[in-house]
Amino acid sequence: MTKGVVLFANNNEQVDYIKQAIFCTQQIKKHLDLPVSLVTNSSDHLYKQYSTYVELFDKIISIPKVNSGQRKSFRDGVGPVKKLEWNNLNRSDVYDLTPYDETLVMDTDYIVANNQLLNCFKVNNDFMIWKEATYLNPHGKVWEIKYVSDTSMEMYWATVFYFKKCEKMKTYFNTVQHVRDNWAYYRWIYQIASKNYRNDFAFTIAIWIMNGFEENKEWPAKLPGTHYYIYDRDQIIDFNDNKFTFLVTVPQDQKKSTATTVKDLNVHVMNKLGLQTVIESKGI
Amino acid sequence: MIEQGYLIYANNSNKCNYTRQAYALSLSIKLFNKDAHVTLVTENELCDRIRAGFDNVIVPHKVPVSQSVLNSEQRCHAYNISPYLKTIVMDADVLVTENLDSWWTYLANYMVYYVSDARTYRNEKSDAVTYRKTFIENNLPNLYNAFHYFEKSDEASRFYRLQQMIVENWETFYTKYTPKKKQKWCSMDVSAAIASKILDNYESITDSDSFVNVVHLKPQQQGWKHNYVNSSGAVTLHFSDNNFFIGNFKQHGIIHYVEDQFLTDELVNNLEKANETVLKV
Repeated sequence: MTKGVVLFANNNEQVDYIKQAIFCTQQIKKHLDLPVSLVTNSSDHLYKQYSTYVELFDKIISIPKVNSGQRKSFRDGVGPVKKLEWNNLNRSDVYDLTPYDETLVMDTDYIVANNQLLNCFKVNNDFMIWKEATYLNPHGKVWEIKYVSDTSMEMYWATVFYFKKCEKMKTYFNTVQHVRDNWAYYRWIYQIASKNYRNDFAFTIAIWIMNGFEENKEWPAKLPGTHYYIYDRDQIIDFNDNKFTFLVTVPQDQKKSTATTVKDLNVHVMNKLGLQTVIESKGI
Repeated sequence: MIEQGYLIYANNSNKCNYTRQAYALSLSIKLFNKDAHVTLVTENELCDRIRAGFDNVIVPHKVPVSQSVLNSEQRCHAYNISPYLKTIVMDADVLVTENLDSWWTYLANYMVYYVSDARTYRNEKSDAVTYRKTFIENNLPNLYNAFHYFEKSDEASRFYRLQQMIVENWETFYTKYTPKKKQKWCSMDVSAAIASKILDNYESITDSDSFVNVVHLKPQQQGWKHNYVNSSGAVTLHFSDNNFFIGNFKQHGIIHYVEDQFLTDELVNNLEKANETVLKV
């Protein structure tokens, strides 16, 4: 059985996901020692700008550049919002794209700092994903996301997940694709306010459908460890010696923030612009 | 006397067609419990379609009109009027979503049983504080009349005689036992709770951790962030392939939907069709 990690990187006007993928891969190599394949519509950029890093990747899987038609707000802490292209539509194609029998899929802004995820490969589950998550901002209760919408089910995070190739997972990803391709309908059915397609929601809806519209504690299984995250309203200041330093924002008074450090934890750094700055400081 | 059955009270008002609700409830019971015997207690004349939904219809003795809006004067006679040795009593605005054989087996351990665990449609423990202030402020047992059970026995007879006395003298009892946040009308929930408190039998007539619970659809106990005035403005109730769904959540057990808007004609028609299928099988 082949094992590996798949990352997706589709650049927009300002966020260099290729750069993030390089840093993300360096961290994966360091802590998980797994081959990493990159699915990207920006492979030219990789070969031109980062030719010395190409060998980091096991495989480069080029996909055509398609305008997603979606724009999303990107923040860097409390700074002004930038509306940029949001190209997240091909994550549900991963079943056919992955070169591995057992695959970990990660966002490029998920920074690995320990080897906990290796435990995925030691247990016999076809699908593992997190539902519960811990927001590293102790003031940020009002920004926490629990449900897909106010009246619907608890959300699974598609940030990181593990799957094994099998008929059930093929059906699952077909279902995610069906939700993606009929997003306007599912948005309406599940009372989702945002027009943008969101993988967390589509993955959750597909799980819900597969489980007969009810909670199933057996499937999917929970990933090992805990899902930690910060929002794009929080700032990443530094990542050094496996230690993150964040400035987490107080929602009620956004001029205020609190410094927080965490060490040896994997963290989903949703402030992509801030993460990019930190990565650039590493010389990438 | 029949061994066991279901008893439903329904008198139509100018605001709500309760006999239609009772009809839908009976259809839902019979769909999943094919030998179920269902009795309706009503003052209303029934059309053939509605009448066909019940095995038995009882016309109650007329009682003086009072301030009550919840038909308590009649409902407190459930114990005496029931033609069954073992009776499940349900409010008309309830639907059954599954076979209740295991519920009957469980209830056989009790002489009287009241549901005390309300759930959201997402099967989460419900926060009923908003609607249960009288109970909380006066330390009353948290009982729901929407689903209760009794077996004809001395113990049950004593309980329901006392409950009848409370209903018939509700202002006096409410003043004494619910001085804080006193309700201005007679309710079966409060009356049952006072009876239980006087008899000190809470432990023997309910279990708040039981699987016998009720999905209660009042809006402020659903855990929503938005302050919906009506639950029916937030989620839909529908019936498909013999399953009930609320807001895309498959339902189990008993649904107390409260708002008549949930009971669409389409839902009733689908229940009728499903029952025809069952009868043919």
